[in-house]
Amino acid sequence: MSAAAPVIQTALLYKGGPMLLDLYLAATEYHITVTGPRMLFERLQLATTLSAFDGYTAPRLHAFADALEGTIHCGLVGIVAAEIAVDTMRAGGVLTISAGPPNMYQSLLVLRTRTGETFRNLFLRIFQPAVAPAFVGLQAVPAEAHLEHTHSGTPGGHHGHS
Amino acid sequence: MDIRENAATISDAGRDRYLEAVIRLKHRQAAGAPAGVSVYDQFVALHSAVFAVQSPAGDVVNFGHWNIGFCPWHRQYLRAFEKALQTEVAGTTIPYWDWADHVGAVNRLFTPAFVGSLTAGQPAPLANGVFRRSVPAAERPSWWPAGATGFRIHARLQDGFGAALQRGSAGVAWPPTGAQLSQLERLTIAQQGAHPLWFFWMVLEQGHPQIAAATHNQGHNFLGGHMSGGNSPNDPVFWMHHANVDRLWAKWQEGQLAAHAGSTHRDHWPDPGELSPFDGRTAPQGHRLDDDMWPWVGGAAGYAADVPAAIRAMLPDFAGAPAVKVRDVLDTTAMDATGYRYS
Repeated sequence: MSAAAPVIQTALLYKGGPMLLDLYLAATEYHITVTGPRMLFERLQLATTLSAFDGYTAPRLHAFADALEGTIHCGLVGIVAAEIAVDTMRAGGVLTISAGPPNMYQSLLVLRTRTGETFRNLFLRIFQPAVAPAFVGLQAVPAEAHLEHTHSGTPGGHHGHS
Repeated sequence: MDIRENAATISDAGRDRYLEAVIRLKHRQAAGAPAGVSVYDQFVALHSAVFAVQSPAGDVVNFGHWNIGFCPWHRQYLRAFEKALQTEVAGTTIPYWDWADHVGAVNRLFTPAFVGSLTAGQPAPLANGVFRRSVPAAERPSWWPAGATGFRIHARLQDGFGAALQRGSAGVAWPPTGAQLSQLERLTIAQQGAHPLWFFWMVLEQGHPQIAAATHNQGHNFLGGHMSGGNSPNDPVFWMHHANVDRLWAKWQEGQLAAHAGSTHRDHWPDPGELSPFDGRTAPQGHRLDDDMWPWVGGAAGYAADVPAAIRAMLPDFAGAPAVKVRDVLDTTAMDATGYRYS
């Protein structure tokens, strides 16, 4: 039995570009090109209009994170796993996805569902929202540090012009 | 007039001039620099240093990237490098890598006889060509300089990859189509208060999902390895990649001049006080029409590369050269006594 071909959505983060990416998609893979990871864009985080009262609870957020996997494609390090984590803040849970090691050019984040479901179906299955969300997406978090001004090292010992 | 030719169709003689000049420059001890630092290494160090330069106003400025000065700074940088190549081999010009002609690039440019093959997957040392760390004597071309053994990356400029030039394409989408690049060459976004150059530069440097995603940045990531870091000029493909960047800007300029009868190159650059449509600020120092572009500041005081002392010691000294402003390089045919254009 062969697996179904992935349905791929693409996006590009760039200076002055949209900071919100739709994740409520009939796609199983999301290829997001990140310009200047850690220099222009720090990371991505899940954003939605839903609350815990609607089913968007912290335990389900962990389950959603566990159902995602991702890779970073960066010429400095090749292909490495993307870090997907849930930070439990006092304000609530925040799912974050790494944008890649610091790089003056770009990285490619390939995000996919482990089950082969579409992102929309995965979201609906895990959160079982009581109301339809007005928005489910990924928010690009702007980088605040000027890594290129410090010339510090980067993970793996690569300079990456940080 | 110097002519920069397409790397996929350049003559063998033109190809060899470029390769020989690069290898010779790589082995030319730089005057005034620490022992073992070549003129080529100086240019690599300069690209790293331009990211963080103290300006006379006290700011730390990236003079070459992430704003509109990306275009003129790299134009001047390539021209300075080209002049250095010509001191090694007369008549050398930088061939350009036409991104849209990927078949031509794979069959001619990225071959053992030219810049060496592409590498798929994790970054790895070049497997063939004259830019390997050590080129076997039996494989050295007839023009190979006496005493040279290969292309060794300077210890301070290795980005963690070691002394051998590395590439590794981690599966990013490439190439752009000819139609996408034609659209970019004609791109004229009309937003009130924003010169069209802002939008052209953005797509050229960083890409745009609807116009052309695979442009400058993606080309660096497609090559991978050294090309993905701040010391990307370690890979001699850097110069050919940026020659194509520059060619696209020159074609955009030609299109704008033709579309606006009587206009000049200056008209196709924003006024110095114009606010960026992307961040609401004026372009930083070095990016505006009448700004000097570090390091070509004519020895003016107040500039300092904010890099480790060991890197600073490697930088070329342009104090005795005239200052170069953005305005001075808008027309490739008139930016110096010879000028250049693209075939």
